[in-house]
Amino acid sequence: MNLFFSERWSVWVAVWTSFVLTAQSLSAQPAPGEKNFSREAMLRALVQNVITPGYAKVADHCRSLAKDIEQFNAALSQTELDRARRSWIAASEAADSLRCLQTGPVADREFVATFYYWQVIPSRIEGTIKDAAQTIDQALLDNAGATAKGLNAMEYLLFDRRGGQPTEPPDAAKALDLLSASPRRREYLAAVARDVADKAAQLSADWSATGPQSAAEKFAADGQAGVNLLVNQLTQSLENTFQKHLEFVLMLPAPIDRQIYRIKGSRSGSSLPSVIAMLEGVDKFYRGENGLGLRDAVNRLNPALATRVQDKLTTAITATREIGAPLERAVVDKRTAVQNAVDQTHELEILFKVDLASALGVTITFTSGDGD
Amino acid sequence: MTAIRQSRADGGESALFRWFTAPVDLASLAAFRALFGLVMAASMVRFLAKGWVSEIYLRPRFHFPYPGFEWIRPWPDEWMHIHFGLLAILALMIAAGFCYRAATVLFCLGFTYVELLDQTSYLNHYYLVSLFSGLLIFLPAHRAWSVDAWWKPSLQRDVAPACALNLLRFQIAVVYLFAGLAKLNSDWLLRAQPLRIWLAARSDLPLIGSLLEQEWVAFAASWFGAFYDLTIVFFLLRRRTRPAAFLAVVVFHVATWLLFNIGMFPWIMIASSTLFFAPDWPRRLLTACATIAKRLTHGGRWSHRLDALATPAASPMMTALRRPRLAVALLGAYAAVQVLLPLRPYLYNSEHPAWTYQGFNWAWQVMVAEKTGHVEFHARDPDTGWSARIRASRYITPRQETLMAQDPFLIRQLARHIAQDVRTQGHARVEVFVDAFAALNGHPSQRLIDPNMNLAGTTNSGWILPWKTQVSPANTGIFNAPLTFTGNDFFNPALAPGLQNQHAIQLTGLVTDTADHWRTQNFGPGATNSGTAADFANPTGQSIANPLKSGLGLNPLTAYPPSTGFATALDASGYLRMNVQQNLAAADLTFAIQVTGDLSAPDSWNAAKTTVEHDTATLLQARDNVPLSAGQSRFIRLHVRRP
Repeated sequence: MNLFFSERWSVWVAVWTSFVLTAQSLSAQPAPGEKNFSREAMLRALVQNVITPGYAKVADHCRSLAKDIEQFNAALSQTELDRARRSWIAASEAADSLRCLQTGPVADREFVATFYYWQVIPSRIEGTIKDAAQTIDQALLDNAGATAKGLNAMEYLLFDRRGGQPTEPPDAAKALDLLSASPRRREYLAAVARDVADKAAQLSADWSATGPQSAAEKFAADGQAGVNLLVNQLTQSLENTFQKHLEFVLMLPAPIDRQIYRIKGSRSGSSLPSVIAMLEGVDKFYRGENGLGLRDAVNRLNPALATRVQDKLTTAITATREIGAPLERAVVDKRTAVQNAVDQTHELEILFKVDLASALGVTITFTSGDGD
Repeated sequence: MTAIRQSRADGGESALFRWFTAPVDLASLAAFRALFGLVMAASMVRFLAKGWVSEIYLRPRFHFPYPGFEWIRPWPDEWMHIHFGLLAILALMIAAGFCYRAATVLFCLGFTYVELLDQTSYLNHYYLVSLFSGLLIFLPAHRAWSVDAWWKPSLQRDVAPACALNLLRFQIAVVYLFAGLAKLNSDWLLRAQPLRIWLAARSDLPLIGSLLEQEWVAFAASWFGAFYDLTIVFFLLRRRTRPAAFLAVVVFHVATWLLFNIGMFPWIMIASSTLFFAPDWPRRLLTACATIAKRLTHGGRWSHRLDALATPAASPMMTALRRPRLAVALLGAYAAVQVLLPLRPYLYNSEHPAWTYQGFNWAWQVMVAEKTGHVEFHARDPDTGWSARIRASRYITPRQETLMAQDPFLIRQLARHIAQDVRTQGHARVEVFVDAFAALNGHPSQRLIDPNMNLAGTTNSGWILPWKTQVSPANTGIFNAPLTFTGNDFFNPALAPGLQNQHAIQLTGLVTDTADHWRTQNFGPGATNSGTAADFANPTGQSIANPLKSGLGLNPLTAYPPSTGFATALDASGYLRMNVQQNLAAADLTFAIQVTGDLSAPDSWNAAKTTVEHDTATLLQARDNVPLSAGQSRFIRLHVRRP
């Protein structure tokens, strides 16, 4: 025991402690031109530059959409319907750009289905509209399942019928005709729009809030656990984009006309922009949007990989843009372009799942094939 | 040798044999028994408390059994929890020395049973626990300071043959030395990997967090870690260096426990390093405690009890080895196995044992690999043409999937299970292929398994692809080379400066002739091989000339980007791949995807050196058979011709 209290050891302990503290303080100083990086700082920057502005944009678009639908309901004109449709596409794209992060308030408040569940069941929506005994109010929507409400139920109501969805009523061809003929249909559409706008506003407020229990603070304070979560979510999003949105259309049996309803965004013609928005959302989290991003974390450990991931993101987004037509059309006459986008997105997924996860010491914990 | 022979002549025992059977104080062994039992009990309770019994053994629908042990199955439902509860009780019995022999036998069997259930649960320290508990069965660790000895005083001994202590010391030395040897590789010493990744992942720790992200810290930790593993046993054996070495053991293992998700391993190693102390160290410690207690309690009964515990029996007796020569032979055989097993990775011709996993387990390859993988399974029935992507999640849990993706043998095991399952659905001759990629120690990901190998059948020796440390995809790129068509001189390097420095180049096409019907269809009935309708003409002034547009079904008068109609990519394994949208109407043309490694040799373009992955009426896809490597260029082109 004297060993610990001998003079020589005391000197050694003092020297070593001084060395560690000096090195620690020196290493804490960022090199000139280097961003002051820490995992917490990166997560905080992502909240500030990507997540909060992203949800603010979703809230803005959803509010405009609700307003445009009110105007359409008052005017019942094609012009107003087209305006509402454009608003819907903008809101959908804004939501899709955040699809890759389904954590925080959107998960805690169980709002994921409101924005991202797209396989609505027309018979459920039609049943609710036709059942005059039910008052269309918030209570009705609260009790309705995800298959009859949310952003994607509005797509069903706003856009004309395309493709042979088996459960759709045969007369559901023209949205304008159907909406003009049914005040209850318009009332339901407006109620769903208000519900979506309220929820979007709630999410935006949640992310803008400050304080130790705020969503932003909890996300930022997670450190490596937050990085784990983020990489897992981005990777899962890429896998879903590759498998369930791009490759899926290539695997649909011919003739494609009878399968269109199985493609997300096909009714509104936004299937391709939706995929692009999802990929661009991942890109924003990686680049960081004028602040720290995941790329900075990778860059400190493996600069070559940081560039490689960025290049592959750009390539995948470019390849997807080059499809140049809605997926339901491109899969017929531009299969090579779709195949190219599939390949590039697949390579990007592997890069995230294998190289990037490995470089950041992240364990992938989601199961391949988990839900969208 | 002379001395030994003389000894044999004198008493039939060699000096070595006497050294082996010389009496040593049993106190050290008894203390290790108690520490080991307590750590194991804590470990079992931790396993239950964290819900790992359900997660690892009950949730999976498919387990990865060890070859030959497929018959071992988990207990149903709560019985598995009971099994772990009993292991905790057995561990406490070992610690107390209560029914010691039965407890060690049952603990060793029970723990090893759990380890044999699923290969994805292999951990080096679990293997060490099985070995320690197996060795304890045969060691007289219960003959001092145990309930057994208290209950049955005739069992009481104060000394044991030296081999009992030396056997455990040898086992620990094997762990450290082979763990140190495993670290003598370029990743560990020259790239500080995988510590650089793991330390940076803990950069959010208070105070030392920012240090952990520094490259020099990772290098210092790597070199110190290798030095520590290779030398700590020698420092622990030397009396003069032992205190500092033990301090290093404690600091090192506590640091690894704080920094890494390493379970109970640090505590097992700290407990076992006490075996290197003088065999009577527990008695000296008890004497010191008795002295302190005496001072504090003014000679109270606790000090007397501690004194009594520390004092050896009046007539020290040693348990005699019943069959000493057989015991020595068995110990020699055990030692040989323990030395030879960890040498297996060095027998295989692989860059890193963690890539192939050949000889990686049971070889003390401790903390030398950060490996992440991704696997997709594709099943195909050659008789019916049926094919499908099979989700691994249908059979295994996310945890199993993560671990399986690192080990090609586990991937093959699941592929065979999938094949077995698909056969029951009527696809008797099903084949299973995988797209498997892995990244090791921060190197770029590469293909792990040959995607053309049917894993459901007999796999050739080359089914695991070699690990290439030199491929640097960051230095490669797809080059869209513009073309000029002058006869057969399809390519003018002057138009593509820097081309020769690229590793991967996409050429937009080569056509030897064009089709008359296509010419008349697009340029009118009277069109001839002249002007804008001429072979090799390029009416839009872009890089795609007439013949290629014919093959791809493009309009000759429309401007297209250079890669329209086909796409080239460098896949994650470093293979060039091209896919082409073939023009159904151009029935008079033939398409081929060709590759070469030398642009200066036009005759070297070869379609035979590609693997055709899709060849349908409208889609042709092939990949180069030769992957890119440092300093080597590969080129791929589409060749369209009229036979």
